[in-house]
Amino acid sequence: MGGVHGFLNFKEENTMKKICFLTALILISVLVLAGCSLGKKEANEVGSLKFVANGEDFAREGFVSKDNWQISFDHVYVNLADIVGYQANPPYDAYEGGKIKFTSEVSLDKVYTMDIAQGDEPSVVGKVENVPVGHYNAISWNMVKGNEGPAKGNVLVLIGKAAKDNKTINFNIKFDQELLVKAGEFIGDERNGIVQEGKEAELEMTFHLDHIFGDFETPADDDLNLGALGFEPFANIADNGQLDIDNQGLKAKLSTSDYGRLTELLFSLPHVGEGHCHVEKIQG
Amino acid sequence: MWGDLLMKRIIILTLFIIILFSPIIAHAHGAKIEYNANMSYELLAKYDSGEPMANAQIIVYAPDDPATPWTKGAADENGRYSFVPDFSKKGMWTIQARYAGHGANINIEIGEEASLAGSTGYTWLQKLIMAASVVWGMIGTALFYTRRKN
Repeated sequence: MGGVHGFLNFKEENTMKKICFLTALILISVLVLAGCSLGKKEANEVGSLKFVANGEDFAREGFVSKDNWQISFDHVYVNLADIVGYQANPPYDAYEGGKIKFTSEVSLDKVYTMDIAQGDEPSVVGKVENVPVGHYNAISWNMVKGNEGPAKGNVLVLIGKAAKDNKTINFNIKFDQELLVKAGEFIGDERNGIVQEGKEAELEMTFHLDHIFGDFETPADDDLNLGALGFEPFANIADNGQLDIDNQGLKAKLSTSDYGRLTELLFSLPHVGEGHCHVEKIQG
Repeated sequence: MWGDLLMKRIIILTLFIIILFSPIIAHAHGAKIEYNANMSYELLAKYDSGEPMANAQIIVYAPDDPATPWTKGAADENGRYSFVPDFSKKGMWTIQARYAGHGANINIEIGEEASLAGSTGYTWLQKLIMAASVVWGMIGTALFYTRRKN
């Protein structure tokens, strides 16, 4: 040591080494502890996330179609599966489509048959506890054929009646096209999906039945009514005031253009509040 | 001998501190211009058909409080709406447009390059690492000179 560090005596050199070592040790300890405490805080912050399905007042209270049929629903069954909420980054753009990139995801694994015509509020599908806090700003779900229950073998079942003038038609309309739905942020009166520590947030799957039948209260030249089929085509294929029909029956009895339009309208049924979704066929 | 050594150490450390904080001293005698560029964002809300969302309700959310609207307003008859964000609130701003059951939203990232006012934005951990590095550098420099002068 003396040859290289000959300017310091042995005692001073040892003291310097000790100071050096202790300082380094303190600095490293502080940084490691700081890092650990930061990670622990983030991991501990959890809340809960509730998934709901909403047919809005159109499903729950009924409405007047664009062609003046008073429609009310006894049941609107929809089979939902593979429901996932995401903290998407970047935010998902349903118009562009593609994959949802995310930092955190929360899912429900079962198939849920929901009757969105019941109650006064959106129907609770399921709730997941202890999810990481943050903004769940995207959602995806599948609309699938049910294996059991009132919507067995179908994706969407509309049961109710439609009345116009002196005519009443009891309908049971079944759709079996399976769909994959992806959406960005919910758009509505309040911002949804923000999970805060110890609190509950909500993500909504919304279904706009007025897109199929139109809405008498909306101007006739509105895009909604220009695109909607109305109820008249369904009334025309009813038999003695009864219409119990599945997708194959609709394909056979509706005009080609009406059936094609109906098929397209099913893609516009799912929403997130007022926000649009990216919808794809699930090939069966 | 110990008196000389101590004096040299003090001089070296003093010089080091002067060099370290020299920009602050220089600024104390300089002139300073502050500016805020009031850059506004102009939005155009349209329906899928291309028609403007006339008089649509507009809700703007800032990144620091995503649950509470930062401001609300209305688009004009051509679906246009402009606003000046608070550039000190860096992150993802979200703007929603709604009218008669139709809705759309857009996300705008306001980051460092757009931040024309406000603080440096370093986290406390970054500041701690920087401070630790400065202290470590000072100790190392002092030890280096101490060895040579002995």
